[in-house]
Amino acid sequence: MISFRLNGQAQQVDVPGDTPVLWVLRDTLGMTGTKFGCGVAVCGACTVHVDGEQRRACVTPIESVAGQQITTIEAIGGDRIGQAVQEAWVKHDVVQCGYCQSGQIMAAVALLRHRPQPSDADIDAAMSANLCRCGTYVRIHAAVKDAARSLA
Amino acid sequence: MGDRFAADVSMPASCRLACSAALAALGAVVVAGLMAAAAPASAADGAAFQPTPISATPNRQEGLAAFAQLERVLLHPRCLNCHVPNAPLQGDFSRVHYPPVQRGADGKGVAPLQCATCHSTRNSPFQHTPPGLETDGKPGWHMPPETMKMSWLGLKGAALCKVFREPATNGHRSLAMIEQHLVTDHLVAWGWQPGPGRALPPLDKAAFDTQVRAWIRNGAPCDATEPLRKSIGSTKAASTREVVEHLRAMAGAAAPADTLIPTSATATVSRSQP
Repeated sequence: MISFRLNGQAQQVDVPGDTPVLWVLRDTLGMTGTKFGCGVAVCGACTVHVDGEQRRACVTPIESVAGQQITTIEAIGGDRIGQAVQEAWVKHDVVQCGYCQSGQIMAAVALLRHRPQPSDADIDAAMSANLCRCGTYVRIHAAVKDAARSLA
Repeated sequence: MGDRFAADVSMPASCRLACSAALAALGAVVVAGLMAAAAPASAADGAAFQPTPISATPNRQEGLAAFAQLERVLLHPRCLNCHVPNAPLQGDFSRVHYPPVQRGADGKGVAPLQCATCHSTRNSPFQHTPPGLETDGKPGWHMPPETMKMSWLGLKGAALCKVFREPATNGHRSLAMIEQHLVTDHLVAWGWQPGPGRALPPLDKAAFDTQVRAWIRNGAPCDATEPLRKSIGSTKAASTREVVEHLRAMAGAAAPADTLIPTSATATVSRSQP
């Protein structure tokens, strides 16, 4: 049995320790907001936060997050920065197909947590680790800047 | 090493008492920290590391030949990709790293994009996946730190050897510490267990370790003219013990040094830290 905190609640799962966090979230716990994209930690669709830092859930063994706090897209709106990012996403109508967007939002929140007023270069560098096949990058960039302004 | 902690005389008189008290308290905290850090590793790591002494009759040519073999490994992408001036490289062709992570002060990236964002605690069974490494149960991937980049990019032969050998450019490592790092560090050892789709270094790990010892045993030569080394210097354990002894003296701790650093710093498997 592996214990951790998920979105503020104590959680236990009975799975092999090398099971990726993404599998635990989606298959064991039925939380499908976090997406399977590439499965090899390249696209960023599966991004979650572990103790506030972004992690690719598809390659993170569940045993490595024992005792830690996992935050997923389902709860990010309860965070001040997360709420601002989600509102900016809606305002800028960022989403097209939407598949990558939970990872994009988790990455944006991690960026603003560390750099409350990111430069354009900061946004490009940080968000370039999350791929979007619809090409919504310009709207993502604008929404991150807008969220930063709203939090200032 | 000990001289660094004998600096009491340099304190301004106005703060000497307060600073001494603060240093003593800091010493106590650091000693406690070192003890805490030492404990789990000692239980897990087992036998002690024994450094290779320098031969009474060192052979320069054998030493140079050994380093020539080491060089082939040091310049292999498994090593070189992180021993670079700034951002890491990637893959067997040492391409620019995607995503564009930077070294960061501690060598673990700059938040929000850290090494641990994508490099987890173990290698994936799939190709084209970031490799993983576990340190004390957490993601352990890292580069050398900002203060000591240990870049080998563009170097070869004697120039590479001297950067690699000299404490001023190799992370303050004596020859004994170099050997311990190369032979026992789990991040170095990862180079021979890199997961699917990555080329192995040109020597196997046992042959690499043998060449490390041969280079040191023969005076760690880098060229044909300079004097051969006569001492391997302090081991990591001895160096740590010196620091602890000085800190304990400042903190007024009563426990003997041997009880503070029992075996972990001499452990066979060392846990890589930048």
